[in-house]
Amino acid sequence: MNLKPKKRFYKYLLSALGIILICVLGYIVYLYSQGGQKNYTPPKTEEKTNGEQVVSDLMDISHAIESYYAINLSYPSSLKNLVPEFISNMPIEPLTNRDYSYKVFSDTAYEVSVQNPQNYNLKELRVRNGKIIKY
Amino acid sequence: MVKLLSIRSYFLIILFLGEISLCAFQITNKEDLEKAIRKAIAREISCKEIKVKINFDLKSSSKINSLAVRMDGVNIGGIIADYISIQYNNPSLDYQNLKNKNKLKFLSYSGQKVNILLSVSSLQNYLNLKEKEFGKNNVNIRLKFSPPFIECFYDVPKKEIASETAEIISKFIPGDKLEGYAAFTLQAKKSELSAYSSKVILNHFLIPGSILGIFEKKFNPFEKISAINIFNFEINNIVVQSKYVLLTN
Repeated sequence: MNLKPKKRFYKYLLSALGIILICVLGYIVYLYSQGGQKNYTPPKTEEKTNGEQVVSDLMDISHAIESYYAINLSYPSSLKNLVPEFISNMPIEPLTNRDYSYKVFSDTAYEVSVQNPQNYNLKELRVRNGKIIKY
Repeated sequence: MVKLLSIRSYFLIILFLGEISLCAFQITNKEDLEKAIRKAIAREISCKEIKVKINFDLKSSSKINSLAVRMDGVNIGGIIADYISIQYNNPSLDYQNLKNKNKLKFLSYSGQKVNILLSVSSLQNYLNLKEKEFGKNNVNIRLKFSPPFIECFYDVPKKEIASETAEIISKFIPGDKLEGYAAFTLQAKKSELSAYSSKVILNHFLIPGSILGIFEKKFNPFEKISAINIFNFEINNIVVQSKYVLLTN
């Protein structure tokens, strides 16, 4: 009568060890399958909402303008001058498929903005001298 | 008496002309001022080329609206930057120091913007120098910019890595070399650079995040950007672009 619970205990212990072993093996197989040269690619970035995409685009363009400035000591006359040296493709507004607007105010000030911030339920959506203005 | 007066007026004229020439150096002669600044920078900083650009206020010709400096090939704490540009808004310069001692000194300015560009080859050279510094051989590392990541393809003999490091990843090194791929991002805070791995493949195995965390804690920050003489700045932003890594203050 006393042997039954002990036998049951060993049975559970073996099952638990088996599950752990399968998990460990599964994890090793997973790590191995994710390797290899076909996986030598950067991780996928999370999909962005239109609003997030616009902010990301504005910052990317702004950084490209800063890099242009670092070499030329002046801001570009047009955003087209940034491609391909400073940005591989010039992004366009995701909602309207229109170009972003760009203005140079002086030798120390520039601004990149969306054509109409109301499309994003905002009053202002622009980047001025590298700083995002969004409200 | 007349003679004395004429000598006095002669000295006054000389003083007046001297003042005018100093003002001319300070204010109107843009090229000369740019040249003097370039010379003063070259005296303090070793680099390939220096470009200075001054824009005077349109309303008042005595006031500098902006002063921009570009230096090529400057050493910033082990990394040779391809370009460094520093822009000052409304700067006030110590002209006496500039003229007499050939030294650039800013008395005040309303804003400063620093942009540093590093190309793949400058980072590759930095790695090569580090390999030499630590006496590492046959280390093969290739970098590629894939915004927002820097991709790294590596092939390193096991004997070239520290035993402490090898111990942590020993399960993933069946042979005598470490071969694989890494995608990482960079961060800058108070001029200290840190790298964060988003994906690392070592000898066909994807390295778990917990192990990457150990390395990040162990090796970060991996470099400190040193401010250059004359120009005081702190780097707090870093962005990977298709051709350059852009560091800004």
